[in-house]
Amino acid sequence: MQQEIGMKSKSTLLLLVFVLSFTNSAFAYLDPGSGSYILQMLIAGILGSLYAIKLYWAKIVNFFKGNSSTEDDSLKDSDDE
Amino acid sequence: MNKLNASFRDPAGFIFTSSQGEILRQINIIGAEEFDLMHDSGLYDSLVKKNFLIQHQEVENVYADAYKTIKPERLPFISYPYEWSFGQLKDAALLTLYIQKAALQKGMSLKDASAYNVQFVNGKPVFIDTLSFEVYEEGKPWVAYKQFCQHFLAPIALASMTDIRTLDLLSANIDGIPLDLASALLPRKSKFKFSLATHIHWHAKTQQKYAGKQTNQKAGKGVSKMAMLGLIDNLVNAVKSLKWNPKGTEWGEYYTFTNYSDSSFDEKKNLVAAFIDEAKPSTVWDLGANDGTFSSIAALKGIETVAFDIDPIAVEKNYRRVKQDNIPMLPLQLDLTNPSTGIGWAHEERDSLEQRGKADVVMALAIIHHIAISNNVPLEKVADYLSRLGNHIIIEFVPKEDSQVKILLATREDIFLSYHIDGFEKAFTQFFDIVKKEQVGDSLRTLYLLKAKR
Repeated sequence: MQQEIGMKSKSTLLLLVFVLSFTNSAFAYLDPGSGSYILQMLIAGILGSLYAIKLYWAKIVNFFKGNSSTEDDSLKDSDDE
Repeated sequence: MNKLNASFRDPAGFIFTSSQGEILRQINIIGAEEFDLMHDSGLYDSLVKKNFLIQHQEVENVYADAYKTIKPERLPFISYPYEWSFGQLKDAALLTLYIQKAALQKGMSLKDASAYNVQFVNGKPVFIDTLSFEVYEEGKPWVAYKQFCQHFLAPIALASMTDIRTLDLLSANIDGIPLDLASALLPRKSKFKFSLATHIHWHAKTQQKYAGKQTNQKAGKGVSKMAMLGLIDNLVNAVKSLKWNPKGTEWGEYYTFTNYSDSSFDEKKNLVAAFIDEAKPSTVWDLGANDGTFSSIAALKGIETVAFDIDPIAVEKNYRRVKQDNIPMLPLQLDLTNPSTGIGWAHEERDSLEQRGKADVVMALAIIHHIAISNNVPLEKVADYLSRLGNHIIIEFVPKEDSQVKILLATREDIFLSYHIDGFEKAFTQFFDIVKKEQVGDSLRTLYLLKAKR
């Protein structure tokens, strides 16, 4: 993973430039951290794609199950069951 | 102006106490746009309907510079992340992520993800910071990502994979566990878990690499909305996948091995119930609650009840039971020999246990021998502190002849010459009047209802 960062150092520098363009926001009282911003951009592509696939897959499954419920279960902790 | 110190960082508004003693929140002009969008977008209504966000009503402005002033619903007891059990921290994390997701759907985003923004009401987590929302700009990364990882993901991962006692680190680190520390303390196997490898280990490395670097031009596309939803979804799965099961230890099975016969145990329950009825409290703190058996007696009478225990296993078991059976009670972890102190700037951001009192009734059942003998606290000092915590106390005296005390004394010299029922009464009557005194069934123990003199 470290190597990966090394190879991408040029593009992350570009990201850094971009990141810091956000930090002037008027009411932001938290320091978001440059590293935390850059990491999000580095993983944005993969997480976005995975999520898109997950959404379409759920749509397909629901279509065949005839289930139109899109209830959000992100609050349900499996420890409770 | 009586500004409360829990809220001084955010320029969008502040919390203060009115002259009538009500807790109010001012929204400054600077926070007007966000506050209005939260209402106009329907975000506020949808979250309040689910009991995920604290409800408020608008009241007249108190200060001239205010945009609006609101009165949030009263919270029964303010608790802090370093007092929560594993499951409570996890539920607070999931609530925060759910709210971020709901906010994104309405064109808003959380500008902070502090664990202190969550409180427990009737056993369930509620988000209390109405001013945490900002207008969402597509492409902008999540400003609270770092804080979420520090306040939630890191401590949950450490508790699950390293040691449950690492949750105590939260009281020493008011802005959450530094990620490089979490990265150093987590076991090697955590690096093979995508979510932890990314959000903790890699995150710590990028923080280190880009610390303090700054330039000022615009480029790139940033984090799309789909990516932002993906990030939140990934964090939800990361939190859910981290488990810890309360098993074993000294206290976990306490009631299975006590020296109470079944009839004495029932007798103790009846006495506790009768003493509660006598004191007519609206708040009860149970200081050695174990799994909440006796605290439930108060909670089920509709009394606001906090069930403290030192053992993370007992607290977690109690929390799961409270959730499952919908008991309106708050289980919390507390070491009575080293109770929560005031922390943060000037010790004033988070209150000590005593500052959050007084409770109408404090229960101290079957713990006096642990404080006085295991921990060498003189009975007089116990009485003094308990009289500062509660107007009434229900306390059980456990004599040296009791088998539990015999176990404590088996491995050490008995230096506790005044530890007997007369010594107990002598110490406690300096601070309390005895209202009731009853022997518990066929046991050697005595239960007291005492009223504080001050």
